[in-house]
Amino acid sequence: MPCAGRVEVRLILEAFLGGADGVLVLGCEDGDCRFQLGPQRARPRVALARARLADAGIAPERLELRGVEASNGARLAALVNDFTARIRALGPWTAPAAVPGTEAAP
Amino acid sequence: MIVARAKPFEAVLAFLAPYRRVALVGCKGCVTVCAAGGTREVGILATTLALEARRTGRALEIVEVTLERQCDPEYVASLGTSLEGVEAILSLACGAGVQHVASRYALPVYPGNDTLFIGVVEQPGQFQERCRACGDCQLGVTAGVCPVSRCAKRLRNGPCGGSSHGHCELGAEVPCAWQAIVDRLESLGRLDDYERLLAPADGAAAPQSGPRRLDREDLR
Repeated sequence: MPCAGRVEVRLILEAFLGGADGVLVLGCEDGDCRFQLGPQRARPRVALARARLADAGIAPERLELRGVEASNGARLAALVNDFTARIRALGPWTAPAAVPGTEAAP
Repeated sequence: MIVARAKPFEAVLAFLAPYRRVALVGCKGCVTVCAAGGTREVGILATTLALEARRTGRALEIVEVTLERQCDPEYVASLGTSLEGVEAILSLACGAGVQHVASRYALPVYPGNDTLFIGVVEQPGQFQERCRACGDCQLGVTAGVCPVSRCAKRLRNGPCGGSSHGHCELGAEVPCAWQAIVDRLESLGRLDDYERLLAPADGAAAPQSGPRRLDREDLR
């Protein structure tokens, strides 16, 4: 996608339906957008997608929008690693609640 | 346009809880413009419902359709081909569209939106009421500012004593419609029109007179 400002709410939600445990929307930082309005357009859409996730009973923190300069590979890697670690700690959103004293079927 | 707002998701969920296959039906008319029930909103609601169903382990199939208009019989008739196996319909149109669909199909039909008013887009995301469909338009006399929809008391001859510094007595956030009428008449050099008293509204055309009809033989 050429710009975070083009991301549609449905597309984000469908990533979850497709099996994603978290979605990180990466765009440019304010003032650093080639198309000028990318971050401003992306923010309300991501906010709406988070609200829809909450409606569905899925923790909205599984979706984040972050700005990072395209040339800053180290920061990009740090953002992605941090997000991945937090999502991994949350576990899958589809997992049924574990019942104490039972074991998973073989 | 008719301005509508999505019902809370919990309300939609409660409507659809008993069913395993539902149709979400949008409308490409007014509710697309006010982003309450177009293809985009149907898609977002469908994916949200699908996520909720997946999370809770509930079986749910969703059919997505957006009609050209739900207030026209030929488009409502075209919906039939999409309803195979569908147990209930959620219409994301205005109240008129919901009823039109319900009148044609022997299925439970639920409203996905609350219909609010006839209005305009002031700026993206901001809508204002501009018409109450009173059936007796006097905008020619009132310089294009409607006192029926914009005056809190619906005064056809105003202002009342509550108008102060251009604001309604309801509060500073409510402009006085009659002040706006006088200001605009003055700017147009038509202040004499302010002296023209408006007669009481045509009772037969008014909403409170009961369900209204319009029959035009030239369109039959």
